[in-house]
Amino acid sequence: MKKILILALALFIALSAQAAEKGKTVKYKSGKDDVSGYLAMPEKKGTYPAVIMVHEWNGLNDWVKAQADDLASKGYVVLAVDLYRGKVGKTKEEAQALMQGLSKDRAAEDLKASYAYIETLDETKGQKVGSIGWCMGGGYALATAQILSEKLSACVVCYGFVTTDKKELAPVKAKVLGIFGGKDTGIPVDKTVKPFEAALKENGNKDVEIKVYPNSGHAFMNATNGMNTYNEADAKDAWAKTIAFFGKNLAK
Amino acid sequence: MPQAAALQPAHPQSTVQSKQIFLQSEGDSVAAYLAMPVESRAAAGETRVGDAAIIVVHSRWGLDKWTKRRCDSLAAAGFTALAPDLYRSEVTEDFMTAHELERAVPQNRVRQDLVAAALYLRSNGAKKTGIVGWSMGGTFALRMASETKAIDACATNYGALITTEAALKNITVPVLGNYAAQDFGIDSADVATFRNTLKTLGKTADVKIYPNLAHAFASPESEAYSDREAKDAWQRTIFFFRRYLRP
Repeated sequence: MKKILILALALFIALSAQAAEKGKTVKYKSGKDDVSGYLAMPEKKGTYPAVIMVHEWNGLNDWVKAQADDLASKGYVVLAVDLYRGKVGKTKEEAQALMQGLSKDRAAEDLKASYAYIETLDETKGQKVGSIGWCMGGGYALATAQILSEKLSACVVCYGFVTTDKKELAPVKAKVLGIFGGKDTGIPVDKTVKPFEAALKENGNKDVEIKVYPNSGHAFMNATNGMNTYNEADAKDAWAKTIAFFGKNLAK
Repeated sequence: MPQAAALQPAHPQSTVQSKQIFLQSEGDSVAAYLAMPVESRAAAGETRVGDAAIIVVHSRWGLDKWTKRRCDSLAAAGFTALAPDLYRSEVTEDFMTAHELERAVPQNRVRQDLVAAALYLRSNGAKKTGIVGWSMGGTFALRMASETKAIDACATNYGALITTEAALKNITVPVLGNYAAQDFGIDSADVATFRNTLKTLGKTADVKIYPNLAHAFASPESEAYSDREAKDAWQRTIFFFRRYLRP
């Protein structure tokens, strides 16, 4: 009896999880390889600006899909890429191994491929494209802006590692919003965030917006980050800023 | 094949001298651990490194004792070994602290530091310079082989792969790879493709995939540690450098 109850419960959870997902898994080519992503769109038919979304060190998990769904509900076609190609880290050890093992040049190819896929969609015809990512994905959201250069219109980096090298940042033509935690020891405000902002501005990317939340640490936007660093008020504010930023730079 | 133990004297310290030096890396002064065979001991205060030198790149824990012992072991085998402190004196055994340090280290600064290490060795007498690293350090070592002309041979232990042909074509030096079939983050099929692509491109490469092992199997602190294969991988590394760095 107990077993049946557990089974029923598991089935219920599985079904309700599925119901919560609004998007779908899509497949496309990256070079010769088959890759996949999670595609979420507004319910109403039409054309919408697109956003390439990059996951944290854990991979393309339910939290990332929920962000994609939410952003889609605001009027965007969102493609959440899967740089780990099917693997998801369920513990921090697994996440670490995945992040450590990720081939940087293959990830760059996959990001290019995600843009090419978006370009094939009727729903994004003639529309602008942006990128967003958190933690490891924040670094890759910036990489997307470096790789795609003027093809990308807006880039949101949520506490991702950012280079401070002017030359490396030169291809970035997108408007940039950087969201950081003042207590994030991995991305020191003075050593990394400020020189990053200065380098972009010196490159002529004058509209860069940087928001540092002084009381928050790393990964503060994710309630499921497993590090006890979630800050609800700051998370809500940062997400509202993100939506407003995309509204200003992609939707118009 | 001789046993790995034969390569390491019972008391490596007796045949090895080591000290801390400072490298100039684009305006930064970077501490580095230098280990040399006793026979290359120079006059007081002077450093004269041997013909064959190796840059040792620490993993995400920082320039720890284990990394320094790797340097000593290379010195005992006749090489000059230099391990720059990419973290600027931070060392940890804590998982999340290491994660923070790894995230914080600027990739462009790492490349500058490693190029500075190569320049130091060359300007002090090295004729050929190799590079070796584990995990994060293995990733950096392999990138140095693809992105710079600063080194002459590259050994990577379960470092992130380079996968595109364009980047692999840039590698002009011999590559040794030690990988684990059960590495959660590096698919063994991808390692096999890496090996095959290097071969197709005509590169000198010896990439071994150790069956049944996981990431960090050569690190005694790791749960994945396996003594026999760790010794085998180290023996392969020393033979590789003997072959490609010695005149």
